[in-house]
Amino acid sequence: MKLFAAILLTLSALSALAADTEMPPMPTPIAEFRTWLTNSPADRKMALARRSETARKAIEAKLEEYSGLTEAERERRLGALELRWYLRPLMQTAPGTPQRAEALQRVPVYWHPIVKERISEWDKMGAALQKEVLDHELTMQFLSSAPQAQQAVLQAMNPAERDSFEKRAKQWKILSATERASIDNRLGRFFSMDAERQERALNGNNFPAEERQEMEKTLKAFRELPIDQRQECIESFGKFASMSREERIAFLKNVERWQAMTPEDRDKWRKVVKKVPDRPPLPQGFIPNPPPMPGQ
Amino acid sequence: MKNPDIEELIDKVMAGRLTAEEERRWAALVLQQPDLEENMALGEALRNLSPPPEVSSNFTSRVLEELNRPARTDRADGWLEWLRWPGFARLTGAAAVLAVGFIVLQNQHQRREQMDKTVRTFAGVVSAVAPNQPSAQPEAVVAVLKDFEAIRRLPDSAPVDYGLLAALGSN
Repeated sequence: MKLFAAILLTLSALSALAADTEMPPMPTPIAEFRTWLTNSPADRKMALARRSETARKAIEAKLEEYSGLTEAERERRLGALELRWYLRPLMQTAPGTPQRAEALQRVPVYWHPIVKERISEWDKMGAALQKEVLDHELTMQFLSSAPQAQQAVLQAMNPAERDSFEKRAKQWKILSATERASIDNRLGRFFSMDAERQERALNGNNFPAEERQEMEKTLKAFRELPIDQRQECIESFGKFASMSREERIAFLKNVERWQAMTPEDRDKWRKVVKKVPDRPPLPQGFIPNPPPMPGQ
Repeated sequence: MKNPDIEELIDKVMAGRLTAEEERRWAALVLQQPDLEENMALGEALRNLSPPPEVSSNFTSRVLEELNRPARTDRADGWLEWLRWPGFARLTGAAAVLAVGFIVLQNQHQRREQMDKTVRTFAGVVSAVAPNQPSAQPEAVVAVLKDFEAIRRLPDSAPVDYGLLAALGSN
């Protein structure tokens, strides 16, 4: 009996010791790849020596590709990939469970703030939507994207593309702070006018004939919308008109992406946006640069 | 007829003591000078007036003082007259009507300007959102505005480098 009690005590002490010992963070292959990018060719050769020839060639090709990118673009891609690497196991655990806590222990501490923020966004979606979007690429991109998504969109543009969007963004007038505050009301008033008064307002602006024709068509489409949808559009327009130059450019780029998406993809994304609140703006460079790998 | 004769005749008319001959002469004279009869009536009226009131002892000095008052005081009084009722009421009323008219006009002008700006901004957004799709433009614009939040929050489009993941995963 005494022996049994002693065994129980020993087992319990060992179990407590195991629980107290934190699991070491798991270095990702992406973090390792990031280090190879800064290594000398000789160090790289040594690091890849234990790999098969096929694997080594594939990695070397990728190292060459990533060396040719700008630092910002390189970090954008690798940061998203690494964040995805840490999130994926967490997404398969329920909040508050030991599994979740254990999976989080495997994430390096300097990644914790952003990983916790993104996993809480995932938790907000609820089980039904989570099941629907687990393999939805856009949702994964959302969860693993850089905090400053708009800046990332701008950085990813080539100069010609950026120039073209800038020209389009210039077509709408920048409003002063006071004007922005009242644009919803004014636009609401405009759309509640009868056709004749709208016509008079258009006359006051001397639009070219073609532009005017398009405006009239758009106004007609607006008039035919149900009141709640019209109101929604008016509110959106207020936000739209008050965007900064950079936001406009990123938005116009997003419009093109949106128009190229499948209806199913759009529908899933609408559901995610409805469930997950907008992210507050964060200081630039929120994703920390990883520390050097052990042995480097 | 000589003047002394006429004056004597007038005296007699005024005293009401005319003979038949004098009556005839008076009628002939009035025919020649019609204003004579009016003067006679005026003299009669003056005689019938009540005696003038007694004048105070310093009347002359007060009249002179009034005459010698500086001219600028008169002018100031004239201007200040506007500040007295009912001139002041008229002045205030006119100013209020002008001010209200000005405010109404200014307000209308401002509202029109704001509406013009709104329409221009709207037109700018319309052509920026769907620049190359004239036939589908209204629907495209409405669709973009309806899905504004979903579009704005589209994540960074960085492609997932599955090739890299595969390369790193292989040994």
